[in-house]
Amino acid sequence: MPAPTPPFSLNRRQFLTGLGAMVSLPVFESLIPGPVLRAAEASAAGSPSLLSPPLRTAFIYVPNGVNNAHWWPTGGGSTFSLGSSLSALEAHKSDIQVIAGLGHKKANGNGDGPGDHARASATFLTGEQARKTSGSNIRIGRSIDQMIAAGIGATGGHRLPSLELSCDPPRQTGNCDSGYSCAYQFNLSWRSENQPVPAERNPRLVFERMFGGGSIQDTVESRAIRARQRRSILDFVMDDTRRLQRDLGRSDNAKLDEYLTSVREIERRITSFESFAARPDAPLPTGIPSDYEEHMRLMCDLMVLSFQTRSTPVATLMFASEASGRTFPTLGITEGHHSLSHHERRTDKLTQIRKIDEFYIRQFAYLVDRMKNVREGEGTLLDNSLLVYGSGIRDGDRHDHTDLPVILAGRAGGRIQTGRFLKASDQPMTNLYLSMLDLHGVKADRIGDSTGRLKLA
Amino acid sequence: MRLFATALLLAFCAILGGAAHQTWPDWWWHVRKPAPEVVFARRIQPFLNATCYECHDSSTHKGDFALDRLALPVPGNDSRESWERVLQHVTSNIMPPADAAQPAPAARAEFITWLDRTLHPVDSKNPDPGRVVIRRLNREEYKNTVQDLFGITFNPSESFPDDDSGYGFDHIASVLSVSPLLFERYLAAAEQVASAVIPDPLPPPRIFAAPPERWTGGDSSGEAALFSNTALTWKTSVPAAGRYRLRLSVAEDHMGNEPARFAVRLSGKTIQELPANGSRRRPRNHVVELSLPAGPISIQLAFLNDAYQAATDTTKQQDRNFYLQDASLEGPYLNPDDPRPEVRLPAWVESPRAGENRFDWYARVLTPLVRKAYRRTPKPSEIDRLAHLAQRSETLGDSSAAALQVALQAILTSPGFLFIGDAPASATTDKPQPLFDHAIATRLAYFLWNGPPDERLLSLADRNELRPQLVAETSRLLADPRARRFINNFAGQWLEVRNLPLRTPDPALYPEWSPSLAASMKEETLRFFADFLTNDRPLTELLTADYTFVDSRLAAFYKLPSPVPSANSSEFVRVQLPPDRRAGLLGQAGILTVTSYPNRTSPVLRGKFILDKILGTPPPPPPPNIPSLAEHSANGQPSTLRGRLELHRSNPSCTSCHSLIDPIGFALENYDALGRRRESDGGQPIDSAGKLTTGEAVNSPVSLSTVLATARSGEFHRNFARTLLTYALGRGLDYYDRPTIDRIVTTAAARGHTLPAYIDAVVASIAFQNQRPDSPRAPAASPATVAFNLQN
Repeated sequence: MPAPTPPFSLNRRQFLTGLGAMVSLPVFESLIPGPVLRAAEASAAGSPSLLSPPLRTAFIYVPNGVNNAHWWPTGGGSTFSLGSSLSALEAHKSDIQVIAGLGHKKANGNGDGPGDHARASATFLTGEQARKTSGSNIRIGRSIDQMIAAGIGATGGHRLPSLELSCDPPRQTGNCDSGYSCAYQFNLSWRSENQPVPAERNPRLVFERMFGGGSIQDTVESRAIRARQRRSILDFVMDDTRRLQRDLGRSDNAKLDEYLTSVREIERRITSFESFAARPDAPLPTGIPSDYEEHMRLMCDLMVLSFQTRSTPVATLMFASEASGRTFPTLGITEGHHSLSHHERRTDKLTQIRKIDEFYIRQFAYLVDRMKNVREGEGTLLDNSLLVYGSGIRDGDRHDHTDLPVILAGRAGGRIQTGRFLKASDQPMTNLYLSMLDLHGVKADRIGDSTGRLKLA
Repeated sequence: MRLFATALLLAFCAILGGAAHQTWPDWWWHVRKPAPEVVFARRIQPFLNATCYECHDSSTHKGDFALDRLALPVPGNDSRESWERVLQHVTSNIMPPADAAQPAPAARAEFITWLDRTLHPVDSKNPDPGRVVIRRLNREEYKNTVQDLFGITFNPSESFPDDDSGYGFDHIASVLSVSPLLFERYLAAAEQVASAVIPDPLPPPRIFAAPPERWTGGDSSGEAALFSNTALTWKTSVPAAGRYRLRLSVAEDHMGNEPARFAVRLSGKTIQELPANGSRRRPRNHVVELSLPAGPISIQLAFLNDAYQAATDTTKQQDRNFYLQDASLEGPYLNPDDPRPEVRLPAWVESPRAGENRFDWYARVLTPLVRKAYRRTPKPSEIDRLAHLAQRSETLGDSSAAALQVALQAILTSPGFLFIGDAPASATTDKPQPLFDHAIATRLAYFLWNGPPDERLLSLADRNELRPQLVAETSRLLADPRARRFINNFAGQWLEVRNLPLRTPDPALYPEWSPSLAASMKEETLRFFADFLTNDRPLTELLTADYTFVDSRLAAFYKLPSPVPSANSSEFVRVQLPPDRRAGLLGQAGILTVTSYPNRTSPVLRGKFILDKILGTPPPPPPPNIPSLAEHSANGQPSTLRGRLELHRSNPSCTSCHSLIDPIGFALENYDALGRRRESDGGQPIDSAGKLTTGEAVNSPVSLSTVLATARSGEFHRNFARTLLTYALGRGLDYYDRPTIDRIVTTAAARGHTLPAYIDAVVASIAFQNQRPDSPRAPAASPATVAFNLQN
C-alpha cells in the first residue's frame, strides 16, 4: 500500500504568494491562538489597539567561525561602518547592532582536550561545559531558548512552546568531534541538561506542526474525532508508562521520564487544540528544496510566519551545524566549509571563507528584511523581536571562543538601542542572554557561566 | 609512598634495578605476579618522578594538583577520581604539556596500561555483563518493525527527526531520547499504520482541494472561466463511498434579468442546477451534496445560459460568462438514515463468536497483536485496558474498525512497543541476571534483522526453549533475507559507506561523480562484506581479498575488463582483481571516497580511518591550539602535500601522532579522491612508501593491507569484536567488557576467525545474554581479583 501523498506540492514562490494575501491583513487575528489573544486582551484592557505585540526571539547559528578581517565593523558606537562581509545588512544598519567582546569560555577544552566544534554548538545557547562522552551520560545544560519557552510556558497559550529549525542535510554516520557524542554537535536547543530538542528541516512538516493537529486535509469534524481519539490514546499510554515504571530501576525510569514529559506536552497541545483550529489559507510549502539558499529562505519564511501568527515566542535556526563540510557550488566553492576554515592564513582560503560569510549574512538579511515588512501596530514585526545571529567559533583556524561574531537585530519593542557597534568588555555571551530573559519577563539569576547583564538599553 | 617503602621491597627492587628503563617482559608479570606495591615502586614511581613531579609534587603542586600526595588508586581509596583525571590527561596527550619533556612512547603506554588496569580491575572468570538502559527504536528499526509486523511497504518513520549517534552507531540506548516532536511523529505514524492495516470503510472526512487550475475545459488560460455553453471538468479519486460536500465559489458577468446558471454533473449526469449570481469580487458560494462511490470520479460544471449581445449605437456590449473561483470536496459523511457500511476487518482479526460481548471480542483479537508488538507475553491488565479503550471508542461512535485502529495506535505509541527493555528476571539483587528468553529473542532479532522477532523466535521464548537453540536460531536468522539489514546497518555505519549519497566531490575535478556511482560504490562494499556471511573465509580477507563485486558501472570506473553480462547491467558479480593494484576494503572506491575531501585526498583522514575503524587504535586527539601548516613554511611551501605534512610532522608536538597516522595514509595515495588508481599527482609520481611506527615497511596499498592483515591482525580482530559487540548491545563498551572481548576473539579464532564465528561468539557472550540489574551503584570489584596482567 503506498503512503498517502501530500495534496499539494508547490514551490516557495507559490507558498509566498499565498502568504502575501495574508500579510495584507492588519493582524492575523484568525490565526492567533485564542489563549494568546485573551492573555493579550487581559493585559491591554481598555487599550484601543487590539494587541500590544509580544516579544519574539530567534537564534540563528552559523558554523566554523568567520574571516574576521572582513567581518567586523570599523568605528564604534553609532558611528560605524559595516565590514564588507556584512554589506547585505547595510539597508538595515539602524535596526541592528554588532556586538564585540562576547565569548564562551565553557567551549574551551578546560582540561577536556580537543572537540572545539562539538563544544561550540553545545555551549552556544547553554553557556555550559559539555561532558566529554561519546554516548553515556550526556550532560550540558538548559539552553536560553528553552528557558524562554518554559518561562512563558502554558500562560502564553502558543501553539508551540518553541520552534527548532535546521537547514542541515541528513545526519552522516560515524563518530563526531573528538570523543563527543553527535548530540552535542547537531543540537542547539536543550530542554534539560541531558535532553536535546531535535530540529526539523522539512518545511512542510514545520508548517503542519504549526497549524495542523495532523494532516492539513482535516475537516473540522475529523479534527474533533482525531482529538478525541488521541486524548484517549494518550491517557492509555501515560497510564501504561506509569505502570511500567513501577517495575523498573533508576536509569530505565529516567529514560521513560523523558518519554512521559514529551507525551504530556503533546497532550497539553491536544487539549488546547480547539483554540488552534484556524490555519492560514495558504498552499502548503513543499518538502526540502534541493537548493540550499531556497531551503534557508523557506525556513526564514516559516519563522516569520510563526512569529507573525504568534505561534511561538522563540525559535532557533541552524543554517548549518558546527563543522559543516558543505560546499557552495553556486559560489564557485567546491572545498568543504570546515576544511576551508582551517585556512592556515592562506589568502585563497580566506577569500572563500569571506564569500561564505557574505552568503550566510545575505540569508540573515533576507530574514531581517521579511520581518521588517510585516506591519504590527505602529511598527514592524522586527521592531517587536530580537534576532541573535552568530557562531560559537571566532576563527575556524584557531578554534577560539572569545570575542565571537555576534549580531543582534530588532528593537524588542523599543526597549533596546540599535544602530550601533557595541564594543562590550570581555564577558560571557550568557550575559547577553540574561538581559534577553529580562526583556521576556522570565526571571533568572544566571544562565550557564553568566557573570551579570549586558546593557542593551 | 608511606605505604610501600619497606626494607624488603627495597632489597627486592635492587635485584631488578637494571631493568629500570625497559618495560618488563610479559613473562615477568606472569611468573612473578608482582604485588601492586612492587609495581608501583619499580615501574610507576620512576615514571611519575621523571614526567610529572616537576610540576605536580607537593612543593610545586601546579593547578593545585600534587601527585605524590595521592594514595595508590586501589579499591577502597578515595583517590580514584584524581587518578581517573591523570589517566584521561596522559592518554589524550594533554599531559605532559607539549612544551615539556615527553616520556618515551613505551613508557607512556606502560603507565597508561598500569593505571587503567589498577583503576578498572576486571574479573575475567565472571565478567560483568554491563547494563543497557531501556532503548527506544530508532528510525530504521521502527520502519522495519512495522513493516515486518503488518506487511506494509511504506515508510512511516521518514518524517522522524534524525537519531543522534554515539560510539559510531545510531541505535545507542543512552543517546536516544524521545522529544515532543518525535512523539508527535509517533502519533502520526501510528495513525498512518493503523488506517492501512485496518481499513475503515468510513474514514473521518477529509478536504480535497480543487482550486481553479485543477479544472480542465475552461475558455481562459488564467482562470476557470466559461464563455460558451461548455463545461469545466475535475477528475479525482475518493477513498471511500459515501456522501461528499462539494463546495463551490462561483461568479458571473451579469447580463439582462437572468443570472448565469450552471449544472453540477457527476459522470455526465446532472445532479443540480444552480445560479452563479455573484461578482468576481464577491462570489456566490454553494454547497452541493454528492453521493460518491469509492475510486475515481469526474465532476463537471456546465454553463447553461450563455448569452451575448454586441454593442449597438444605444447599448453597450453585453456578455454573460461563468467563473469558478474556488472549489473543494469534503467527505465522506453518513446521514443518520444511511445504512452503515459493512466493516471488513483484516484476516487476522477473528469475527466475534456467538454470544461473545464486545469487550471479550476486542480482548481476544488484540492479544496476539500485543504479543507481537511488545515482543513478549502480554499481561492480562494490558489487554484489559486496551479492550476497554476500543470498546469506549466504539461507544463514542466509532466503527469497530476505527475502534481497533484506536487500540492499535495506543499499542504503537506505548513504551512496550517503542522501547526495547531488558529488565532482568529479578531486580532485588545487584548480581548480574540472565535475561528473559523474550529479551534475548528481541536482542537477537534487532541484532541480525534490525527488526522484530518472528513467530518462531517468540514461541521458542514462550516455551523457554530459546537458549539451547541459540546457535541454530542465529544461523536461521542469518540465512534469512532480512539479514541484509544487518549488513546495511552494521557495515554501512562501521565502514561509513552509508555516507556516500551525501558526499559532494567537486564536480569540476570529478565530473564522473553521480548519485548512481555513489550507490554502486556503497553496494560494492556491502556486497563484499555480505559475502563473508557464507564464504567461510577469515575476516582478514576483508583486507587482503583479491576479488570484489562490481556492476557494469563500477567495472568501467575501475577499468576492469567487464565480466558483467550486459554493459548496462546493474547486477553485481564477483570479479578477480589484477594483482598488486587493489585488495580488500582499502581498495574499494566507497571507502576511499568517504575518507577524502571534496577536492583532494587526505592521507590524514585515511590514516585515521584505518587506525580508528580497522585497528581500533584511534590516534590521540591533536593537542589544543594546533599551529597551522603555514607557520612552518618560512622557506617557501613545499610543492607536494606529502612535503607539507612532513614539515608539519617535524614539529615535536605534532610528530607523535602524525608518525602514527601519515605513513598509513600515504600508502593509499595511489588512489585519488574517488578511489581511482593513479601513479602520479599534480605531475609528481606518487610515493606510497613508508614505515609504520610499529616497524613494518609498506610500499603500496596492497602491501599495507597485507601488513594490517598479518602483523596487525591481533588489533584488527579485537577491534572487530568490539565493534560487533557495541552494535549487538546498543551501548558503548567499558573496561569491564575486556574479558568478554577476549573470549569472543578466542572463540572465533578456534573457528578460523570467520564472520559467523564472531556473530556466534557475540550471541554466546555473557554480555549478550545477561544484564546487571538497574542500580545506581558502580560495579563492585573485590581487591582479590585485581589483575596486573599486561597481556590483555
